[in-house]
Amino acid sequence: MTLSKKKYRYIGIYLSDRLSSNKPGILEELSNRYLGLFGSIDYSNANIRIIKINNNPNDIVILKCRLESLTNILISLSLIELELMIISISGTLKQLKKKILVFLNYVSENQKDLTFSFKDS
Amino acid sequence: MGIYDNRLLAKEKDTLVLRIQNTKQGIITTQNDLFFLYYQDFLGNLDNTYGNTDILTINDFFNSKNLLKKLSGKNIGFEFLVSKLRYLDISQIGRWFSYMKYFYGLCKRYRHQLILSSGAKNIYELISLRIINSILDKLEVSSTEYWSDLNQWLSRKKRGMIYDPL
Repeated sequence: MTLSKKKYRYIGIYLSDRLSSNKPGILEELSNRYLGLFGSIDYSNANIRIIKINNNPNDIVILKCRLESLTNILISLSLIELELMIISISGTLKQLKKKILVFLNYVSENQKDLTFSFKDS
Repeated sequence: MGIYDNRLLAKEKDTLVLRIQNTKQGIITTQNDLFFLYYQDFLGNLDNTYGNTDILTINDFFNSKNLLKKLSGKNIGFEFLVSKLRYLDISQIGRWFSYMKYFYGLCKRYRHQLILSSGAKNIYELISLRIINSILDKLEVSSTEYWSDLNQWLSRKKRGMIYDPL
């Protein structure tokens, strides 16, 4: 029997000002949605964790999960009533950090553009 | 679809589709050189629906079979907003997924187009292609087939393109 290495994905999430002070609350909300939608067995296999890294900006949270559960996590994240935005998904933390930096640079240059609400013509 | 930002309109007009609410008064738009589609919220019956409406936005479940059959051949896009799901409880979301599978089958049968839209009113409600594909996967709809059908549907709907892209 061969042992295959478990594959993980890192998800970079941008939080609104209101959310950034309550990162554990996001995991709780996500877990509740995931459990409701896909069940406890699937949830335990997903192995969802918040990754803490040095110098992580306050408005960014990084989640780690099993590759097989990525689809379910993306659906759960998009169906929770929280002001967050998935920035990027990557197989390595190093790549994810790079993408987060690019995003944060864009945000700092275009802060105004990110705050408007859409309207119909 | 539905992105509206004046700065983008000038340079991205080949890739943007304006989504304009269809009203009784008629449409007055200065953006008539852009590809646009008329939408209306579906209110349970066709009494207040205008003939030139391209998209019906569905907010509630309804007995869809008769309506889709009645509209057969009109090539209507039925739009469902993912943003609405954020505010539903688990059982309602389960019901939504079940209804959507049924609805997609009817759309195929009567040649209408299912449209999954973010329904975003702010940036936090925007969803990526990957998330839409994940939802399609759960609906047991092939994402390749869905996007191909949507492209064909948009091509058939093209009108009002009076500008020369060159």
